Amino acid sequence: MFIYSTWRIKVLLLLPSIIFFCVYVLYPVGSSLITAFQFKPTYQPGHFVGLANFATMLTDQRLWIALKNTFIVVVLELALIPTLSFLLGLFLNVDFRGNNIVKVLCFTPYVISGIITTLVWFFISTLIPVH
Amino acid sequence: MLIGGPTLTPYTVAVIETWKALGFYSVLFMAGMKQIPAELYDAAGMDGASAIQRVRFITLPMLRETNKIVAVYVFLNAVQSLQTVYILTNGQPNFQSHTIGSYLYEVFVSERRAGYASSLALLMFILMMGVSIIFLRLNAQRVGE
Repeated sequence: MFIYSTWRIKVLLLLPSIIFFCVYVLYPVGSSLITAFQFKPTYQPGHFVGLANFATMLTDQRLWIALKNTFIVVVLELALIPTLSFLLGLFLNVDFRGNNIVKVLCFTPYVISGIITTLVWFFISTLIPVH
Repeated sequence: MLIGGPTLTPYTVAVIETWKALGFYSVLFMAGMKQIPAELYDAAGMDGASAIQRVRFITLPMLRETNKIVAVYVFLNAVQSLQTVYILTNGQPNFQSHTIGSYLYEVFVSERRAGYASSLALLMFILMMGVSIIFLRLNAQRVGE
């Protein structure tokens, strides 16, 4: 049973995932870390500018608006999701007729692609008349 | 309009993402509730605890670990909310409704400033890393008491 658990075989079995991790996670993270300190148009070579990008950030009005919006989204979601999903979990833990159907219906929006669910809500919101 | 007004879009984004993610997080909570031993509820029933008291004093404290994980997940997904904003308004009008994820995407794809977009990604990474470490630290201290 443990004949396979030598050091060499462990490394051999881990090798594919290590290679994939390096190529698809470590390399992009490292290269974007380098790009963060460069002036670089997309798909063109860039040159180092030091901390100039971060200086731009301080005066970028659009970024501050984006950060404010992100803050609103984060606070609202942190307030809504844990409470509502806790209550929903309590409700679904009770055995009643049609329990599984309700479970499936609740889980469906998570499985459907986010683009489609957002478009559905977009169409719903355009149906509401506004005066 | 719910969507497209200068200020209401982030709220709409939060509501839509809540609706979308509710099923997943309630599955996490249900798994946590299945782990709670039934003896606790039996004992509480013996002592004459009402249903609300059972939830308040048994279910909630026993779900502390689940709560921690859910809070970190929700935070990370909320900061990264790109799809919803991109589909709803794409930052219109006049970049008023961007979140940081969609603004990064806009800078990278439309304005073709890869360097600035990367530094925004770095900012986002530091933000998420810092806050989730704080989350986990705070909860760890509370458990250790």
